[in-house]
Amino acid sequence: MGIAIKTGLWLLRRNLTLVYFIYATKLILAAIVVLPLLIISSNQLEQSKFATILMSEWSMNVVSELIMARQNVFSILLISILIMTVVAIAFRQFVAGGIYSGFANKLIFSAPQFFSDSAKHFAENIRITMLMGVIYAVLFIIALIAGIFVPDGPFRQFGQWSLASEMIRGALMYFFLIPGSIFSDIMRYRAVADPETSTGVRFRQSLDIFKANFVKLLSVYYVWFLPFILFWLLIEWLALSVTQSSGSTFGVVIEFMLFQSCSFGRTVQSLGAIASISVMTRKDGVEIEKQ
Amino acid sequence: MEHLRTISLSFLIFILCVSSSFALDKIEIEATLDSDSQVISGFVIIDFEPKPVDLSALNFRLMPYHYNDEDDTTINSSIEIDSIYLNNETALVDYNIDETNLNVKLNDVINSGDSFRVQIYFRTIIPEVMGRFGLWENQYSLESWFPIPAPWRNNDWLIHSYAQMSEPVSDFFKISATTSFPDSMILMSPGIVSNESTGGITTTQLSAGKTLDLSFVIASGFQLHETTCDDINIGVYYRDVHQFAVDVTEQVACDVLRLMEREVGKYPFEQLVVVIGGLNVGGQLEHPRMVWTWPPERWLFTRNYESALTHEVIHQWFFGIVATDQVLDPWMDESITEYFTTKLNHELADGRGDIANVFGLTADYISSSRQLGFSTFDLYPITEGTGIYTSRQYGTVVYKKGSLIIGTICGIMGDSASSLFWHEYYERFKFTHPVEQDFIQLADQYMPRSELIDLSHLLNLMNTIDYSITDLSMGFIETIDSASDDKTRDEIIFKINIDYRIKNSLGYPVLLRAEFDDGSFIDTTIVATSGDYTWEFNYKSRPVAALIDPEFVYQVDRNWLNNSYLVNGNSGSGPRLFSGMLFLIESIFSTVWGL
Ligand SMILES: [Zn+2]
Repeated sequence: MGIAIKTGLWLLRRNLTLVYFIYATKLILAAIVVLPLLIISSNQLEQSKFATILMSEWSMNVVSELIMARQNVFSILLISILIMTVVAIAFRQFVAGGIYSGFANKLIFSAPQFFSDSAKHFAENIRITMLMGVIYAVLFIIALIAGIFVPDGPFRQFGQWSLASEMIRGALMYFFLIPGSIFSDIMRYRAVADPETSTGVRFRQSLDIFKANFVKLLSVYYVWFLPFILFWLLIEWLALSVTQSSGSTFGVVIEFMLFQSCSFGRTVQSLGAIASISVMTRKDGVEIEKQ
Repeated sequence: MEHLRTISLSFLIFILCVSSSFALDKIEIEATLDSDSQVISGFVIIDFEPKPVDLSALNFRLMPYHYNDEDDTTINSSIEIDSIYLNNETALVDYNIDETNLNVKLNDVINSGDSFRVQIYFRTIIPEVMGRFGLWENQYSLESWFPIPAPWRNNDWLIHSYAQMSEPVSDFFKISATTSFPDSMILMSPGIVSNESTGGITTTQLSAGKTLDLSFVIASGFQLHETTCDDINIGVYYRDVHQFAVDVTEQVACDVLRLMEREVGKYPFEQLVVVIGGLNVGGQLEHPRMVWTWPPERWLFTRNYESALTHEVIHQWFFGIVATDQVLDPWMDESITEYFTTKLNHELADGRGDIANVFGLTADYISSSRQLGFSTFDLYPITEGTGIYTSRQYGTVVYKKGSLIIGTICGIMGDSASSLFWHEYYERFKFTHPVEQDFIQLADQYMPRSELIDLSHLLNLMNTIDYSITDLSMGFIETIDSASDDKTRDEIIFKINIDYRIKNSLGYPVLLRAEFDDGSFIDTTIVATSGDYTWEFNYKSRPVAALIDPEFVYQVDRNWLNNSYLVNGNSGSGPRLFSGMLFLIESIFSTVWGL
């Protein structure tokens, strides 16, 4: 496992441009979705004393007034989220080829190489995604069933403790989906390593690799994932503290930077985990050492 | 002239109501629940106090018919009448049943001034339905299950046609009842005098001093937990699975009893009962001295449960004590109850996020009332009878729009006048049945500048108004201070223009405020028709904000964001919303991508 993590870090360092590229794309796509909201709402909010509370609380009172004042805010937002989700999914399928062959071949990021790899493996990655859709659906049903067994809050309490038990339920269901995402990483690595193989054969190969390295794969994933969760909770706590205590422009700026560092951290964590998994994706399932 | 007549008429009604409340008709019930045939049957004896007019007919309300579903003929529920006796001897045979009304013709007139007794043998079929009257999963929820005299109003029987959203309308009675049922179950109700079990049958004695009805739940598996709140006994019936809700139920009930004593007047009874899960469909339900809640869920927004319970406990005042007619004037219980629900919610949550306050996200009850109330604001006035609304409209118009209008009335009155108003309204109309005009006439006396305010128009409001500040601009006048010779000091006087707009003006007074950088402010009250106006004045300090209706007195104002104008902006509320939404959308992308 140490080798996997070390390799992952090493690959990330060689591909920092890729990290920036993915994060920037995410930021830009999200900004396109939210920008109309900013334009529509800022006139209504900036001059309003009623809206000032939004500086320190996520006040649904203000959002509710905003929706009433501009009935179209919600529908515009919803439509742009839908469109952007489609764009985002297409983008993800496209860059998959570049990411996985870059990591598999231990390349240093270069745009021409990246995009040509992306184009080369685009069709196969779409097929894998459709297959994964079925696998995720099955995992989701299993997760739902497992969710039933989460007790209704050990505290026999109302309110926020019951929320805690719902969050445990949600987290548990998420854990059931994680093996699915690791499996899809293996499939995509196999796709760039062996583009000629049929999807069916690749599925079986990947399943063998997945079974042989199951514990190691999950461990590597969590070594990347858990620190990020702690980081995320810390960010949320810091952001809340700074806005609730200051209620000023300063707080809003700090919160923005915290949010974006969290978003960046998410990309680092995901790419790091993918890069680490690369050492376990050989056809024979044997770990490989970095050069 | 018209005005004078209504005043004297309502005064007469008022006197009659008050006098009749001193001597209540007495009702005595003996009934047995047969759980095999799902029937509750027995007899009811009514000892009527003398009526002020001769009677040639008697009328009784038979409520269960109301719950028959015309489309579903398998649901069979009715009160069947076996026999009727007058003064223990005369069998009355000339009667007919029309929907929920039992009309009994008398061979001999009952003279005004004579008291009389009627005994009715009945058989009530209980349908297998969820809700306020029915059997569901071995739980009998029984409301208005026996024949009860039709309301006596304006010297005549009041015969209502009960529509989908209607609730029973009743006079006050002194009711005692003896009810028998299988001893595997218990009866849950206020006023239980005794319980005795023999031979597999439990017999419960009930007594209620001044009540509109006698409702109860009969079921097994319930326990009772009692507490005292000041001198009032709070009894909470619950099943094991809902034990987690007992504490919060008792706390809310006690808080509301205390706050309503301060807001309106003291709860006049010794007991309040809550049956958790008494109503097995969505919503909660008020009964005299009792509330049935829905089976609570352990879920994020438990404030929903608490505010629904708050609403039903407030109904004890507005329905249970000030017993308005829900069929004709549903706003007089629901709008007023919702108004107090909003107010008490806010106070119970210390004024911050009274329906949600988690992880920095807050929401207040009033914002959902505004969202829903304005969605159907121009559809109906709040003052229609129940029959006109669909169930959704009933909720958004009578509850939500209604609470905004009542809130506006109280806001215009101001805190101290509205407090005096509600206390007097309660004292004057408790245990009576006031109507719209009674409310208007009394409220009118507490209105500042009441010559400007047409309460009837406000109650029937169909247009949302909008007060807004459109601009604040300033110029300077420099004056040389010549009074002091040793130094010349320039003093700047600001020449201030505040532009404001009134849409759909009510012509009522509204407060306009300018705030300055030294913390001072200037208020002025304006009365204007719809249009654009400018408030011009000179002042020594620099203005930082202009506000119209700064205290949000006008809850019927459609947009509260534009009620103020900050010269320097609030520098960040829009960007923060952007920042938060951006992070949320990025997180969604990350989840979809796994990147
Ligand atoms: Zn109600």
